Amino acid sequence: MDIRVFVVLAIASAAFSLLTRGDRRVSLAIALIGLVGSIGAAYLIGESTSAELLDARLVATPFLRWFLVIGSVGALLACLLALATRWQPDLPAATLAALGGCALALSIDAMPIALLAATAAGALGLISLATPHAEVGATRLMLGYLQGLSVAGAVAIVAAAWLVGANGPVVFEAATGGSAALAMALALAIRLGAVPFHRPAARIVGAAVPLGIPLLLAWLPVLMFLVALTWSHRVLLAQPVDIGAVRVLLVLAGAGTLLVGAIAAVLRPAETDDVQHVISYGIVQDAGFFLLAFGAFDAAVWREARVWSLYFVASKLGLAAWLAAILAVRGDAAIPSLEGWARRSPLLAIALVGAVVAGLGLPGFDSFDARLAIIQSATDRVLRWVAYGGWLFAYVPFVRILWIGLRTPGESLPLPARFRLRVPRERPDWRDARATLRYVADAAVLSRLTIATILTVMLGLGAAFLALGHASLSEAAAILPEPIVPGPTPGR
Amino acid sequence: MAGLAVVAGLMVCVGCAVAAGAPDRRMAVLGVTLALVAAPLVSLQQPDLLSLAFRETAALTGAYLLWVVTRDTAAVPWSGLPTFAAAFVVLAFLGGLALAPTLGPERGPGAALAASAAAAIAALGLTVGSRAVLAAGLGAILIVLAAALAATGLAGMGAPLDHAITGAALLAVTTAAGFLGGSDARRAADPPVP
Repeated sequence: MDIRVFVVLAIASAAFSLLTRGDRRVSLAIALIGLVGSIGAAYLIGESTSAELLDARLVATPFLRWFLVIGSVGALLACLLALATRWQPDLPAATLAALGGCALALSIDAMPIALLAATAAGALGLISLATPHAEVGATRLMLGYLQGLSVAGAVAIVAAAWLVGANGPVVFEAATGGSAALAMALALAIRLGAVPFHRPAARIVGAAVPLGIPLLLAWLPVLMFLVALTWSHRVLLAQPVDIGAVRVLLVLAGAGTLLVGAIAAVLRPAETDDVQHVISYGIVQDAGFFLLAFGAFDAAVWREARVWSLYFVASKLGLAAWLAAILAVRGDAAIPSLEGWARRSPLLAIALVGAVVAGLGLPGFDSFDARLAIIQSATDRVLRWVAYGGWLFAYVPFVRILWIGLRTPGESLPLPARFRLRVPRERPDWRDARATLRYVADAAVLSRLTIATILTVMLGLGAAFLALGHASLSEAAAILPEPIVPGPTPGR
Repeated sequence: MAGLAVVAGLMVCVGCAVAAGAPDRRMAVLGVTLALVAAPLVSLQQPDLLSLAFRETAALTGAYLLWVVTRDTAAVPWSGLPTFAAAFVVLAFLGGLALAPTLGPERGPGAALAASAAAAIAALGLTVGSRAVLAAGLGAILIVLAAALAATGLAGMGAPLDHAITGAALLAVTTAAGFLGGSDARRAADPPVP
């Protein structure tokens, strides 16, 4: 099977799901069938195959297959978890559209148009925020996000096109190559939310449902990073020009973002001392790692950058799942109110540890090795220690959340939030229809939260399992793309 | 073909100028629509019928969405740019047309770069100079349009898949801008709660 099947299936399912959104059940059924079909289509994509689509070449790589399989499985679990916790009717359609955009952006052979596809996927991700009566604050937040992704996409497209002429790549000098590299890095910094462009990324969590966060702030920005990384290895590094000054700037920005993001996640003012901001500032901080990985301009971290981007997405999905479950169980995610949460919900504590380990890493995990390799390749001397400091700081908010959850038993959870596999003890008077209905509803709530907890554990532990490292993923990520050098052969 | 590209580029410029100096929301939407409709023809080679049909359908669908969300807001004050802002858009177009040949012969049509400069200036004006949500949304549309035109002008983009993805990207951003601008305009049109 080739990549076209996946693209058509994902985009058609998203379109039909949106077109039938008047009937929520039909729309949901189409989207869920589309997601299940996407898993199958992604799994069956032939490795290293190419296909023609509208006179252009789409190339499927083993890494793309991994990316789409993990994306589709994660998206399905996230949508099911959203159904069991806080639902957003357009989330599955937005996810499917974004998956279709991902498949296109990562398989298109031509660079500028791949970045345009990544920008389109980013805009389609905004569907997950669509509500009929958005509040003023939410509208402004979404607008900031839209502007950010548009500007980032535009800068990236121009930077990519600058080095690619109408008949193939142009011969460029150090100044031209450096300017294009700097522009691409600027686009990545805006899109990923690196300091000082972090405001939209840090605040959009206020408008998004928990399971929309990984799509908007992790999956789709990472897509642009992967396309930009491919561009840098195929076009920018294909010609021997010295862009050392750009590298210094990017390393400075990356290490600074690592440190500042971590401090911002730890030192929250009381009114925003909540899990949403810990997750969003964690994403801001990780933008620093992406800048380091891009700014290394080194084939030695090509594999590490690509595998870590997958671990990053899986980790944020696990964290968002944990947030959704905590909100469903406790009704609040303000950190001071989470007293005793880990003792009351030990399975959720396991899920949190799994998600954190997948993203930040522990010795023995591939995510740890990848982060270490990126820092060591990109930085030296003082900046290396700054980066290490930022990385170490990133654990602090999660250690605090776990400590608050473990130090005291906290208040007992309300009945519907207790994890029990039996129905409530108090039997109703079966002749009383209202009492019977309430009893059935209580039992249903219990099972809904049970499902939510199980899905959260699956996502958290699944992320950790992925981050342990797999030989086939490692091999798939290590395949370097063919450089495009100026020559007589036309093609972009 | 170069002549058609220049005429289409000029239409994009006019559309951007109208959007930048529009006295109300509907005129701004009309300007953006004109720019979106003309943009596919600013190309190294004439797009095939299917690609052109897709681009125009996407542009008109997006424009219709924008029109729907602004049609009942004619009386709502529009904090757009002053009319003379349109002059800067025209200047950017002329400057782009003059400077495009300096980039070398291996690039795409100069009209695309000129139209891209016009769209970028209009986007900048709408984004920075206005506080209205719709204006900022229109700015986002024009930024993406400017990027697509720049890619055409620099890298000669114009294959059917290029048109399909450009159309889809513009439709996605237009829909998002329409949704956000619509909710803002509705709020502005609603009488204040006593």
